[in-house]
Amino acid sequence: MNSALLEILYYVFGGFILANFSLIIFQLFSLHPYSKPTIPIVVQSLFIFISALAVNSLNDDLETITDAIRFSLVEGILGFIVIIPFLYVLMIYFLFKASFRKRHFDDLLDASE
Amino acid sequence: MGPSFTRSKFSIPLVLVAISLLVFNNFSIENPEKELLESLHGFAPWFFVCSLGCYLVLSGSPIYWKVQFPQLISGWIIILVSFYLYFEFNELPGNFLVGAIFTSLGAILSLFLFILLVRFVENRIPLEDSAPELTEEEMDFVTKIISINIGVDEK
Repeated sequence: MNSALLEILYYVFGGFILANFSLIIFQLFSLHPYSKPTIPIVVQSLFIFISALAVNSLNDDLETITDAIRFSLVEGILGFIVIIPFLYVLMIYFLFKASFRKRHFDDLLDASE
Repeated sequence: MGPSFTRSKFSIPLVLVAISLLVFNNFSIENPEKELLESLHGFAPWFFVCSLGCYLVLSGSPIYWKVQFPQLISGWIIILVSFYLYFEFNELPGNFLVGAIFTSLGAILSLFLFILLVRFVENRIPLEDSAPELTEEEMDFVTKIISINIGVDEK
């Protein structure tokens, strides 16, 4: 397969597996009496396994499924490391707007303090 | 009390464990994690400094009409310094746009499937019977509370 296409697939599977892992951890660590995480966690684990199988079959250097998961997680995190600065630039734009906005004086709010 | 009050609060210990493992790691790391750790070493100084700057700007920004100038000014200085750190220590890979776009695509797909899964699980829960009507005593109680809140003297 074309190496550029392979790279794209590794990034897609990387983002997919990383997000699935994050969502599983989120569901496990934010349990509350009304949450029903069993079905989502089982299906997401299955998604991770199938994606890892696909990555393993695409990359000849990877020997086991665990290697495929490690490789995909690294690709996913590297992709997110690139995205985060762009998100921060967007956030800084809104912070810039918030820093210089002017609000009218409110007697009611002033009286409450 | 809603369910959020009984939600497990493990996020802070989990984040602390993850950062400790990253900082106090004594084991030799092999690929593919070695490549990731090198990227993180370039990325982490910018990330933590910029996050601190953003927090300070947010806490110093005019909430209603009051501005906290010390936090606001120091926050903006820290943000500017953080971008110096970013360009000094961080190296963008040659194909960074491809990586960013297709990683986001994979993550969005995962999120979309998660939403469908949650919707499926929630739709399986049978609807409860409608609540019975209020008794005379409950009606009086509710009327009294509303009257007090809207300022009508109920006597």
